[in-house]
Amino acid sequence: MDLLQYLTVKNIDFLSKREDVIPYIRDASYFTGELPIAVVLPKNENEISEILTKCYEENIKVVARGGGTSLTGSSISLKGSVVISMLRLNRILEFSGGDRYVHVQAGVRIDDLNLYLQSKGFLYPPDPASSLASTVGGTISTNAGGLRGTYYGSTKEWILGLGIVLADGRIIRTGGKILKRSAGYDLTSLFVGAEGTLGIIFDAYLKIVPRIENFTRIMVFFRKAEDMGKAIYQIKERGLNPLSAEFTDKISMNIISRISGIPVPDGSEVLLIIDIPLLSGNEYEKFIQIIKNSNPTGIKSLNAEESEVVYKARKGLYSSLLNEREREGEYIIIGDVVVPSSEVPEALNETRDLIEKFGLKISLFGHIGDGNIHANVFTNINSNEEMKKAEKFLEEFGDIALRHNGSVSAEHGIGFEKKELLIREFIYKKSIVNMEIMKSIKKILDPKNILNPGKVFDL
Amino acid sequence: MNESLDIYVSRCINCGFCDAVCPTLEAADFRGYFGARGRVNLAKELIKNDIGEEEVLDSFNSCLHCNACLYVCPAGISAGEISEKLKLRSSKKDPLAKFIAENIMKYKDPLNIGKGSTLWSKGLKFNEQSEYLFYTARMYQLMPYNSAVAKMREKLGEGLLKKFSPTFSKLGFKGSLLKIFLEKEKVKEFNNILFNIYKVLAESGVELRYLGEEEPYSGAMLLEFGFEKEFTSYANWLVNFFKLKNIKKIVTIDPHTYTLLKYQIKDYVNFPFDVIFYLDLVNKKANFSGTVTIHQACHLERYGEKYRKYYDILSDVRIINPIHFNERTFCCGGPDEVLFPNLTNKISEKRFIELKSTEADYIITMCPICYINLKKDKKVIDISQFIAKF
Repeated sequence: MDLLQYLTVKNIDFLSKREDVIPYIRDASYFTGELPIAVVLPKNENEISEILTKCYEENIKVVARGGGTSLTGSSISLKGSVVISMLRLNRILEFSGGDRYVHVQAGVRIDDLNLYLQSKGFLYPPDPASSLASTVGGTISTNAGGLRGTYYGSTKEWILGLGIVLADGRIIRTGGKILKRSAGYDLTSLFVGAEGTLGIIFDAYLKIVPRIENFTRIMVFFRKAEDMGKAIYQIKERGLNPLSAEFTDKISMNIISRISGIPVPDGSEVLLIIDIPLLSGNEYEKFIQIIKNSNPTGIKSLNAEESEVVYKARKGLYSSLLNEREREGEYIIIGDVVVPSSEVPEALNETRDLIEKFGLKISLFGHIGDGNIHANVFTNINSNEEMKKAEKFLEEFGDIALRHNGSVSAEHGIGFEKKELLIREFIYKKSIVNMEIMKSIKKILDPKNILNPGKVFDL
Repeated sequence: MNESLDIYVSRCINCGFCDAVCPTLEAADFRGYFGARGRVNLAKELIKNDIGEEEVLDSFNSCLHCNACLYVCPAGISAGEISEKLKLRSSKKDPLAKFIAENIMKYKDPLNIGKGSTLWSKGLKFNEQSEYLFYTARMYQLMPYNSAVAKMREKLGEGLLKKFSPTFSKLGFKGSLLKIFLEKEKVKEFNNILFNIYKVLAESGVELRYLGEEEPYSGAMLLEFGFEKEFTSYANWLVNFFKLKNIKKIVTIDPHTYTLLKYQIKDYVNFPFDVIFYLDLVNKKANFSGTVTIHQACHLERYGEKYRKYYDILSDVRIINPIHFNERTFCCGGPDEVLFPNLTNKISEKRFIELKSTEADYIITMCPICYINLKKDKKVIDISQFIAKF
């Protein structure tokens, strides 16, 4: 019995017509996948298990797909593969404010989850820019970050337990409702950031926190990125924690100024937007004192209305940059590196020199509170020459992060795009054996290499 | 859209935000073909001639044109607009859509309901000299008849309905089987809403002119179903008709006609008339001590402007917002009622639950299509009925 007959007999919904599978060949990266044999729309983990059992038996590649928002090609379809769309698993199963967890299916979108939690006074902190569309399962699989990362950390900090279907169809559960446990290997962590190469996550226990409603947002302008980097480091060194700390270069700063109507002081090259939590009473003064001593060209404390407009402008910066595209075929390829806060000033200096050296149109912004820098490279993806130049830039941008004890990927994962950069990171850290360990784990959990093959690394 | 379709489509970065807000995607059990991102991707293939028109027609036809996708798109493109352009370009048309288009061209009415469109106005005073034309575009009147078509589809099945569509077209509504499925109570209900719209305007001191049986339909469905040539011809006829009647100011009473005449029609003809939404002329404030929730019409929130005059009228009433409101308002599913009734049912059910869960005393609508699709409870009330009552 072939796969499609099997799915029919098992009464599992699937799509196989060309027009039905085309919508699944792309994600938010610049890669285009190939037509899959079928797209399966399971309603529960038992159906996923049946699909994987058959695919394992028949050696058919399987690509799990949530919101399809990957920026590195993690969720694009592969030739001859089966795509498992997780979107029908979109129920919030259980909530417990007292136990501080929410149990959700993998296809729940992050914004939908937080809309639900907001009504209960709680928050699931990871907030990638794609939160409108990205799903719980997808963001766990890429260990997504976001604006709140400096205060709350990235997704991995918030996963208490997972339900997973393994390559051969077996269903396992890791962790659970509890906030801590010390019972053998931490298998939950193994699947965070695995990009669907080790198993398919179908539900998750997520840690939640009460919302912090009382905070103030300020804009700080600087002449030098270095001064801004130093300010952030000093804030953290003195034991203060911004709820978020976002920086932009001049291109993006001007966009935010245009949208918000807030003027840029003369001589400013860099903008820092900080959310200061008002918990004990005098945080604001402490933050401001440090900032005033960091050579700012201007400080603007925002009222509620301005605060909202500036937040939306920041969250929509990538969108605004897209509208700055001037040529057909032009895309924005996003570099995504991270360095320790103490290294931010020097890493930014070196990045500025690198941009000058390459002469590319690039805008920088990022979640600077946790050292995450995004380089948005305007590139015509139809031009080999431009693509090579952009790739070379991103390689050297990654090298800057490595030289400053950072990583080539902060929150977007590896996918197709960063496989070489990942190897580069392990070599740089004189720990290429990490790759061997990863491959060994992959061989144990997916001996036939059917789960999202060719993503993260090549076997 | 100020650029060619292929350039417009190529700006899409495939981020999937549009899918996250597209009502038809979830209603179709997340089959990507029926989602906004799917439509854009299929458009890319169609433009390259890598797929046939027939294969993708349902994808574009099922788009509700609610513009939810445009509001969240980082690249500023609308899957709805892409669907509309491709439908207009396509030579393939749904048989039921053809039946409706033929009726509009022939009778100036999608279902040829004849005198059924004027029953509401019996005994009411109009002023032939008034500067304001009260233009119903037969929208509220058509709703019970649309339901009859949907009912008949349910009984006959898709195949038979499409097969007999040409016969219905010849016979008109009265002479066809369709009238068996018409619910008289629904006709009364919609005539009552029309009466209330008239009443709140009259109480605001507005005198109105009404064209009675001569009043033509707006032509909106020609565009929705992709009959561009026919729409252009119809729009030209409509302009001449209004000129002949010496019309200057057109008071529309439903969001679809309002946005069509105020914005969309201008891509096809010069439309030299003032187009007003009737709530602009209402000078009364509702006085109600309970709570309401508002189902905001997509066409008033996301087409050309954010039309929110009703907030002034309801400023003394406690409003409880549903999960999706203002720019994020969620479509009632109505525009799919004729061709994809299953999608409409699921979408309207979802929206109704959202509205009902506010536990407000009333659920206010302001569009006949929204009203008929959300009227699953006594709490649902047209804004004209609410203003007239309170």
